[in-house]
Amino acid sequence: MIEREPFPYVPGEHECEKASNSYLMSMVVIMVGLPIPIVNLIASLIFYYNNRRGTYFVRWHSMQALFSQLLMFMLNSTAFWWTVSILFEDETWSNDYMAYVIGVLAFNLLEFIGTIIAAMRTRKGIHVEWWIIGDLTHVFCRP
Amino acid sequence: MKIQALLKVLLLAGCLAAAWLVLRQVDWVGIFETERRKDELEKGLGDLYWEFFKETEGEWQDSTAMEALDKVVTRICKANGIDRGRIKVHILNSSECNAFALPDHHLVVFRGLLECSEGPDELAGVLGHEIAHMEKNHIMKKLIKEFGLSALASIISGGGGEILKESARTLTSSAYDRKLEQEADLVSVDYLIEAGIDPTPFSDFLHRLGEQTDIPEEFYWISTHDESGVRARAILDRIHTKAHEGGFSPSLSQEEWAAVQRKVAQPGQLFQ
Repeated sequence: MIEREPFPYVPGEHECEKASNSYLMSMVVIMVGLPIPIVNLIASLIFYYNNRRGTYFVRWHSMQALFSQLLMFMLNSTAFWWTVSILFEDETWSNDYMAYVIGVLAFNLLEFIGTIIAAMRTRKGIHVEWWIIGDLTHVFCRP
Repeated sequence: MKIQALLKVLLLAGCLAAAWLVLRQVDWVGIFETERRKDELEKGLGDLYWEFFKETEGEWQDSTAMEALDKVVTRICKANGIDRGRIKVHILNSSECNAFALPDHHLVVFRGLLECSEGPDELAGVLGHEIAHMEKNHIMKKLIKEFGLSALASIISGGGGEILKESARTLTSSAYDRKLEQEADLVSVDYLIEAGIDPTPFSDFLHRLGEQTDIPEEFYWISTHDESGVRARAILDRIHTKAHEGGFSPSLSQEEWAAVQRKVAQPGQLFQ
């Protein structure tokens, strides 16, 4: 899920801390974010907004964290509303639903582990790019 | 760069979809026994709630009234392809004009409902309404919505005495939300028509109830109770739009209804 890529410059100590915090932001609210998926996204969005004029390293990692949360938000929201429709509407427990929830839980676990690794490495000044999400971040985040 | 990123995003979406397609081939419902667990939860709750009401209100086991209720319920079920064997009918010895459904198809009628109904077809409408709540799974939906699955599971495991009392009160004292109440009304009309019972008295019953209710008109939208007058009109609209062949016949004969009324006037022996 994670690949290391060289970054154009060596980030300073304060940049490493801020970049690492962008991942921690989504970790801190994970207990709230699991039942209410939008909370994680909002937290990452606020963090990105506050650092949008920061250094390239900080901006880049804030945006990567934001994109990862956006993906998780879409997956988790679908699971959340599907569950709600089973509990309160006419939907029934089905293999389709169970397969989706199991898949989403596995993806959440991967994302959780990836976030911890990314937070630890960026704290040490090591640039990490997530597959696909890193490519997308490069498109939107310029030096 | 942009196209490459876009292609990778599409690849990710494809991989996620493929993973889901593979996972859905597994019989997860069978592995996790979701249906059995759901049925066990419903059965456990239904039995506990019924025991609770039986202890607090007292059961009225009058054979004449029970036979009359059984006849109406059986007629509705038979005409609508509903498994009659699943429905357990009980009468509570209370003067309240009420009936309600519990999980696991317990249909509870207050003695007062037999007294305040002006004819057997009014009663049939109310019974049809409660059967509709059962068939549409409204009871579990309401309990889950108000108390949550974990709280309901704690009742079954014996650790939720207060929740049992509170949720039991909820089942009798407040109505379902407007959408579910209206659905149950309209389904009841369909049941009655299929069974050859005139649904108009059911509308009359609700209309009469509406005249008695003390819920102010201005609280109509925030009230948890559906306004009975509006419900009565909706039922009449449904009757007019629903085509039916053949005439209607009373759900109980005059003699049967008169016998029930005599017994209701003298409640007799209680079974607790």
